[in-house]
Amino acid sequence: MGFVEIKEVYKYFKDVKAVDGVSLSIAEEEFVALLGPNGAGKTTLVEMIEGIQKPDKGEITIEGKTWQRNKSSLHQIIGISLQENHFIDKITVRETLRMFASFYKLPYTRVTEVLSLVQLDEKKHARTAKLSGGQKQRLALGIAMLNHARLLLLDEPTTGLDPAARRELWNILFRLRSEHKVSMILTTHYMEEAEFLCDRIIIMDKGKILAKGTLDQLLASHNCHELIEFTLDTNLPDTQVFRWAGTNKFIWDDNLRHGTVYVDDIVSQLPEFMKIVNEHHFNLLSLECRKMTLDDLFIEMTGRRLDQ
Amino acid sequence: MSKAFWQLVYVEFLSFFREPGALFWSFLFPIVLAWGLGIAFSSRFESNKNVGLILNHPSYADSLRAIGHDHAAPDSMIILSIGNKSSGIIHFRFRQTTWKEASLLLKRGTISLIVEEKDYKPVFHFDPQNSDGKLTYLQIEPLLNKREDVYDRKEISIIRQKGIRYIDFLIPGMLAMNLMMSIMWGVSYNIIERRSKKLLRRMVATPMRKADFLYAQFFARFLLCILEAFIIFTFAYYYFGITIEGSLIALFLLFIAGFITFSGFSVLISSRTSNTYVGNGMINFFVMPMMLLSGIYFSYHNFPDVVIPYIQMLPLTILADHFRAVFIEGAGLFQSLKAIGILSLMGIITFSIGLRIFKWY
Repeated sequence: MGFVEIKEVYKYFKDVKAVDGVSLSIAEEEFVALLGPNGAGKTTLVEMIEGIQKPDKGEITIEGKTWQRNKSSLHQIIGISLQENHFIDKITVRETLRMFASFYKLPYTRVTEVLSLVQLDEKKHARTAKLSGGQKQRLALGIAMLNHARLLLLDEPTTGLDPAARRELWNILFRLRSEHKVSMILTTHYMEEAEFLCDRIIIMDKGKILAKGTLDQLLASHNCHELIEFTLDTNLPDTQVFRWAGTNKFIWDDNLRHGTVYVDDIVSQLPEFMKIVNEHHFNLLSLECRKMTLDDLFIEMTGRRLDQ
Repeated sequence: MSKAFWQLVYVEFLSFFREPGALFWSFLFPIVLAWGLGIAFSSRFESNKNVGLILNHPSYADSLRAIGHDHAAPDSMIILSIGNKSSGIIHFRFRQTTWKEASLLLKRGTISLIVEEKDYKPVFHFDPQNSDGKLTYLQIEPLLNKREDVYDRKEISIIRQKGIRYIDFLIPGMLAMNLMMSIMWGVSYNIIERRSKKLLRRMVATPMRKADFLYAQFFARFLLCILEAFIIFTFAYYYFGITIEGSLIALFLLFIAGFITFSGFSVLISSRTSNTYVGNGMINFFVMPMMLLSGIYFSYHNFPDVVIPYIQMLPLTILADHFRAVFIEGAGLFQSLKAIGILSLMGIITFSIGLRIFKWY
């Protein structure tokens, strides 16, 4: 049995199927990313794990315990960070942490430790209203970590942050992972975040799980590891010209005059691609060869981008 | 009480005292308001009233001036005064005008009465629904018809007695209103704002006891309300010589009962919404009618008789009336017990309903 068990969970809001029959098991010390675009049902699923929402159907257990009968003991082992984090404007970072520490009956020495863990030592006397987006997220993470949480639930912790602030938060989480026994469920629509931080990625859309596994498993399961992207100065008279024996798939966008060829191995297939270009006297405006990413996989599965 | 409770009280105090605006509106503004109204309505030995004057025969102006013209006035204006230093003096400023201009001045509220001279006799034009117009008529009619000045009659005796000044009426009402405003904005708005920021949601995802949060809100606000009332009373005591004639215990219990009732309403009003604009409207919907009707600034007995029993049911009316009874009439605990009971009951009922439907997120 996993540390977190989600069995056939449904949650509908009027006509919207926010979570539509999700089952999932998360092991102790496992870092899992729930990846999906806005409206995929990630936040609703996390809120049900947090005990804030009740499933219409199905069951969620943490360490074998349900929320109905174990509220106080489950509150002791989880730590959460919301999508938007607001604090009491007029109090400082340290005062905010002290207030939350008092809810867990923790000594103030823990506040000092957490300030250092989330790298907010220098800002401990700053009022929360004066913090930047990244600092607010780090404070939210600090609050989530105060009680030595065994399960961290982070809802889009880096949305809206600049790349440097995002990287700082990742480093803190990465260090946390190596130094403490903690499981984490993170929702995100940044595939690089899921790749960097998590053992397992769960791709969600429209309340359902589309795919789950490690990054390599997900990419391998779709049998299309690499791709050649190019732009031409004219439209293609016939899209079949780029479908030779070594290709898995070819997508052509008439408006952008942009093509994507999915192949198993770029090194062996690139000469064939160049031969077709030369034979047909196509004028290449751009050419890029790269490995497939989760974003590409998501587009392939849903026809939409992750950040849409 | 738990460490979490005291920490929450401490946070409420920090939030309040670090907000300069809150300090101004809670402490300084009521003092400025009491001072301004107290001065404006208590020390007016001399006052001015404007009257429109329409002359069909210009020479009538001379006969008006003969009644008692102030020579400092410009030619277009005639000033007639009534009263004396002990009863107070009113200067009526007759402004010569046309019907068109007079109508405009009436609309603007510059004048409330027009005197038209017809065949060398005054005709008075005013709206009998307008109390100022009616009063002005009663004051100047004897004067213009050259009867004895009503203010100089020998049978008039001036009352000089403690507790009948306007400021004596105002201060207990202001203390009651301040208590209501402080709780409604300090507790209700605080809860709604924290819900809208999802702070309540964040807090209840910890082992924090929900009761600790609410009790801390009330306890911190209670101490702040006592401080606010103390500052206003101290100012009124030293500046206007206001004293408490009745029982201090009754006053304190009324204060607690008032606190309970408005705390109950504050929980009820803030129980559901997470939109600060809606919350703003709901708080105003609750406080505005009482500010206008409960007789804080002027007696509600000027309202039609049919609505007075309803006004007397409002919590602010009950509190203000009984504060006044203790302050001015010397009421004791016994006379205040019914009000203390009713206010406490109102608070307990509204608090219970509010808590039942309360949304933490």
